[in-house]
Amino acid sequence: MDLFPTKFNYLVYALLMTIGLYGMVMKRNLMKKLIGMNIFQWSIILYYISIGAKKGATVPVIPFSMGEKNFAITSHLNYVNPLPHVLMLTAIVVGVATTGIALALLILIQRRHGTIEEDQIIEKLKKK
Amino acid sequence: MSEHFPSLIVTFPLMMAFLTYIFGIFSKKLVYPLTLFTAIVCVLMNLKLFMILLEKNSPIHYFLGGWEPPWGIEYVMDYLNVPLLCSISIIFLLLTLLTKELVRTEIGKEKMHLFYALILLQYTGLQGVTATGDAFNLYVLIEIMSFSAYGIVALGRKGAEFFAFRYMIIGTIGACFYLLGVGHIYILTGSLNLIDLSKHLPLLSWSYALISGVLFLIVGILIKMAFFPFHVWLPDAYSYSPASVSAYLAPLSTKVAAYVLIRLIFLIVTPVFGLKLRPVFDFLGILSAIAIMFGALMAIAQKEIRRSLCYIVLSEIAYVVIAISAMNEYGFKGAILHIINDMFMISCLFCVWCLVYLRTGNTYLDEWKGLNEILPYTMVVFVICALSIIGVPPLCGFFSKWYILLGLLAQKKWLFSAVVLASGLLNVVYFLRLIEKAYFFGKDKKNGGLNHKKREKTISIENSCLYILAFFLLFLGISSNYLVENIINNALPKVFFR
Repeated sequence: MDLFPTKFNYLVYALLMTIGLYGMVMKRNLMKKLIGMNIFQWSIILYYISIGAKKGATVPVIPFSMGEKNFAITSHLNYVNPLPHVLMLTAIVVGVATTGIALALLILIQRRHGTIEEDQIIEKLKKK
Repeated sequence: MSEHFPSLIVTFPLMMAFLTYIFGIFSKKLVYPLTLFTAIVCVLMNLKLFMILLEKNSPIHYFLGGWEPPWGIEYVMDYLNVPLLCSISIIFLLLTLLTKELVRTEIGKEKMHLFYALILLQYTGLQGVTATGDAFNLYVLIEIMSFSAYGIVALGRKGAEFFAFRYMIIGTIGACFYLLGVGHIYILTGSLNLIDLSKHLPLLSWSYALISGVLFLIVGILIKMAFFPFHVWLPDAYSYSPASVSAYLAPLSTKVAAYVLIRLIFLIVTPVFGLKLRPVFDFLGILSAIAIMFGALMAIAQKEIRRSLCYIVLSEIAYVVIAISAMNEYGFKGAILHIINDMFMISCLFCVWCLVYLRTGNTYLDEWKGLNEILPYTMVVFVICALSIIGVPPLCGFFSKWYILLGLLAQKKWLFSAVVLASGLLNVVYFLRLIEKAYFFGKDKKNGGLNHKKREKTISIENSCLYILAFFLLFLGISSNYLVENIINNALPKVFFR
């Protein structure tokens, strides 16, 4: 059973994703839904970072001094894959933007309805 | 200059969105002309791209920043997305012209620059999703498209912000699933470029990672396009949003998601892979058959007209999926043609609703009594549009449903074909009620709206936009043979021409 030590990251990501989905779908408080959404997004970021990471590898920058033409080409195995990490920079920005919009909407909901409990809001909307 | 058009159709509205906002702070008069200018320039650029494509007869590739495909981001203009880009930009221009008065009365002058900045950002997303050839770039642009949609939906009447929040939660699940699918595909192939992926994916051996990746992609996009079990956000969000916003969102955003679905499925249609995924598509076919009937029936059950139009949107979007589930040449032709036709039909429908709302303030079914006396020309356009959605021959709705039906019959899916035909009948029931109310009932004295007495003029900016949309319904119908033979045929992958 080598699942646990080698694929530990992926297990954590799957667990976090399930927690996030549970929070988004089952919780009735909108703030808790938002927190669930954040956990869900960060779990995917953890997943992407795990793809690129390698044990014993270093940052993918080849050191060479100015003017030097043929720098030493070492094995690609010594470097982590930078692409997933760079992609996640964008995904983090997207995540922050989502949180920002969600908080703004929550403030608006609190102002207009006086509560952020989903059931109470639906009840009030139905009454009208 | 024209070699940079593939990126300019995305970056130009993005730039103008910020300029509109900044200029809007100082002078509110500049906001609308700037938006209109952006829309016109984008239409011209897209038409020019279409002409270049027809002349060159091969896809246009544009490398952002000069980085070559497997590493850099690539924008691809081929026969699949250029017709769509043209229709998106034409509809956006017409909507901008048509909703000018509505935005002024609904949003107010104070918030106008914010509103138009968000609308332009949404437009950036729509164009970008259609233009891009990179899987991760697609994710970012889908999110740009959705974020601005959340913002403008929340501007609506009380309750809109709650449904915008719900829309956001569901939309984020969809986008994250898409991102996860991209991750799986990236691990297996090491590439994010869609053309590159279409070379690598068929060579891969069968694995659970691959199938789960593909399924995550498909489910993510289905959530974004409001497909049947994931549709809950759409009717609420669109029927609580401001009237002009629903006209902007309803025809465009779900159809663009449907385009993404077709684009992704073109990656994986190979004889072997297609055969393995057969059960998935059969299941999608069943779901979309339910969705078509559900949408058509729920539309009849609603009292509020805009809400029932939202269910028509759900029903129409499911036609695309049922066409894909046939997995043959006619099915895909029908699906692509239906996306283009549906954009025009739904935008025409929502524009008619917007004008009725603007001129009479009516929202409920009973208030449509005797509308013919006040808005005769709008009602004529409405009848044309209704006939097109029902599927009456010279209009465009007939032809796409015809191809879809051919595709289903070729696969011997009798039940699905029956569903497609039966939903046409349900649409007849739905639209005849509205037409009956408008034409055969006298003017209801009780429900006098704001400008209820005034009879509309024959020619105004709003009406001319409606006439142009109605003309497009007829034009697409008549020229559908040319469209399918010369353009959509070239958009299909080579697998279909053995």
